[in-house]
Amino acid sequence: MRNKIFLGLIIFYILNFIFYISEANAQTMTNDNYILQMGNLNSIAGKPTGGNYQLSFTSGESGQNLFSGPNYKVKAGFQYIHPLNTFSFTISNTSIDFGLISPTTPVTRTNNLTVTNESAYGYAVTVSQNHNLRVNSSGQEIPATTCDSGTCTTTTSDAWTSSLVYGFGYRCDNVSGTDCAGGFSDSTFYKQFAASPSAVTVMSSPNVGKNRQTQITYKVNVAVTQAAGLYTNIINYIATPSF
Amino acid sequence: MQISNIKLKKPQRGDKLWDSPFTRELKFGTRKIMAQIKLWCRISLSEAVKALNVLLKPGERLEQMRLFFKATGPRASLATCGKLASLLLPRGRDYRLAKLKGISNMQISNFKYIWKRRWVFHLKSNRKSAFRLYGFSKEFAADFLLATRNQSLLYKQRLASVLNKCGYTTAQKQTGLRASLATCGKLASLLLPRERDYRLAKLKGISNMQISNTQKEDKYIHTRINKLICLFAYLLIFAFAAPQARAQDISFGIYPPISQIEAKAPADIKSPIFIENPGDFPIELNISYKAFIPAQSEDGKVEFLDNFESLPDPLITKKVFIIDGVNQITSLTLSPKQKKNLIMEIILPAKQPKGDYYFSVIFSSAAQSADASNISLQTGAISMNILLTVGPKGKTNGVLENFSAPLFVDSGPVAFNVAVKNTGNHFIQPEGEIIIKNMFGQAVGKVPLLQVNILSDSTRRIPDTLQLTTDEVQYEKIKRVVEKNTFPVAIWPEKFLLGPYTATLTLSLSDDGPVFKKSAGFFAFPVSLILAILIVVSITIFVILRVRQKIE
Repeated sequence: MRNKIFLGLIIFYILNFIFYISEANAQTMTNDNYILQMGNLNSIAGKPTGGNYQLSFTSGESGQNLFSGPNYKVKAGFQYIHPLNTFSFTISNTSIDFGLISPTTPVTRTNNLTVTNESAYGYAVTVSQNHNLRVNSSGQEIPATTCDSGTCTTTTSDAWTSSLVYGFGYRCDNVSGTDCAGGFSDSTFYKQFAASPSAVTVMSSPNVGKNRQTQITYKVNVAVTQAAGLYTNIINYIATPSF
Repeated sequence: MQISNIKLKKPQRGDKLWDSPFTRELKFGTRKIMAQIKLWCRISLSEAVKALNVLLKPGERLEQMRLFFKATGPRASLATCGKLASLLLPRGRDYRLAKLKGISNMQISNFKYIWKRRWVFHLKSNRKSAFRLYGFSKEFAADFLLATRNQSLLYKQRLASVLNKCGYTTAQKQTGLRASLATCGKLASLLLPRERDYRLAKLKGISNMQISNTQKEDKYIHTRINKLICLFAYLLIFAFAAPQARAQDISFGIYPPISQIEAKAPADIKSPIFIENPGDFPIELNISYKAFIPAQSEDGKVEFLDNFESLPDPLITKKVFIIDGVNQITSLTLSPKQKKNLIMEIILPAKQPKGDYYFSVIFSSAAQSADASNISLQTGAISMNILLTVGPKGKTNGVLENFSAPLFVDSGPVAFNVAVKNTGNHFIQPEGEIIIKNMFGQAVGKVPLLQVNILSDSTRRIPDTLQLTTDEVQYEKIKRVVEKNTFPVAIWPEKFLLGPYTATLTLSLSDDGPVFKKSAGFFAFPVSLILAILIVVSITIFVILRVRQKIE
């Protein structure tokens, strides 16, 4: 009898424990109200509409605002996003110095891209280069890498580990968030830079986010036949909020 | 530039230098003329030299030249006088001022003639370099070249650079306002030798007070130049001593990330832009525009176009201006931590073609110069999107392309696919929600949808408002589902689900409709939970039985 009671108690506690956890996450009814942000640069503005809407007005130097004039009206910012923070973009180290590049000895350098898009639902950072690494005086170039298999492109990544495969390429690693473009799950995978005006997405998110950070690794490797000289190019990053 | 009392005659073909009034005067004796030159500023140094060359025998020229320079002074005061005269007077030539200084009408007439001749000559001979000079006006460039005609190109460039940085406003350069004493003082201080020939200023009728002011201005300019030199030297030292300084960050922020504009032509639209540099380095930003279309990912990302041909008016960006204060700008410099309020002005004429215009205003940094190394330089750009509808708007049309839910779920959160195609000719912001009912017909969940923009003739998948959160704890509840889907979905975050559910979407494309209503069913059974319970119970029973066996 005592054992039966003991067994029953154990089962009761286990079930209670399981359902207790479930209850903690159960049935969260979403709030009926929208939070809309309206206002005006110089004064309070905006008009409340409907019984289910909560309007928060803004005045200040910048804001999520409604402006109007003869024959026009402007909605500045997303009406459904409350934070008024700027859409910001940071590039650490804007000068990637490869130093002396020795043939068949790959050189890698890194910098970080950081995006805060609390005021925009989604964003994308695209990258392009003005041309391959080039000696401007002679026109000699270090070509874009085609990776070990010879198949990587501006949109397709592949492994690049061989020191006998030459070229210039990049890879992306998540530092904060998971915003790197696809194709870099393996740490040896690289892609080519797209030539302007074409550009490819290197970092993006469909959501709002704060301090989303990625690390870009630049890799260059040259053959013994590569002409000596100072090779340079310009990499362009453009951060664009979603609409 | 000189002012002579002898009426100048326009040179004719066949005229000889002997007929020049200056040459005739020189016939009276070189020394006397030189004295006159020195005292009265009658003719220019170059003309005097030319006349001497004609008058004297080759063997005597060198000696006479030496004497001439000795008599007139090493600073060629006559030439300097001319330079100052040309620089002192404004573009319209304030000849009233000249009259006040006792200059006769004939002198003024000669002045006009000589000035015009020289200006035309210098523009012809130095057209390219005249226009290259740091954005100076034609008149200013001509005057500048005239004043520095005997100097090397390097000297001219340096001087122009100094002028550019030392107090010459853009307005002064562009309008040719050169009449101020301060300007004269600056030029005098730059053009004249160190000793400052203020006697010359007195000859020109400038008062002692004016000279005093000029001296002060000189001192101020010299202080500024010295500061510039010190700064330059410091930068040089810094550059050589700390090469790591090249590796600098760029950082900028912009608000709003989007401007949605509805207008009817004609209109003068003004919309604010706030831009900041939160970084520790100054940045120079260029402003440009790019048209865009929705990306194929259907999630609101943009795809830039190479041109504006797809817009109703390909020249729309010619009607867009970025205003800083009262000035239209195409570039700007932001100091570290600087914040700036700008105005975007769009001027639509009455005949502006109707339709939607989608373009981005892009603020892009310039690349640093490459050092002597193998370098990949980086530039950054940040953009804001403009959705401009030039109306009146047409009827709102669209199609609910997809509303679906998974047929079976083990547990929540549940993802709903909502895709709407805008078939109208202007962008829309649909408003809607999904109501979830259980097997008893009770509403157990509500998923409000984001009022996203759907551009004309494009499809967009619509997420829910919960995904706007930046709260990590809140986001953690839906993170798994968000990251599992490669496109936006609306998420019902409920975790424990049991039985059949019906989700009903109600979506209105605009305040005036059309309204779509569609239902989708799904069945939920917590298989994994039940399995987990069964496993735990089985293990528990097994343990208990084993314990009982041992006890017995």
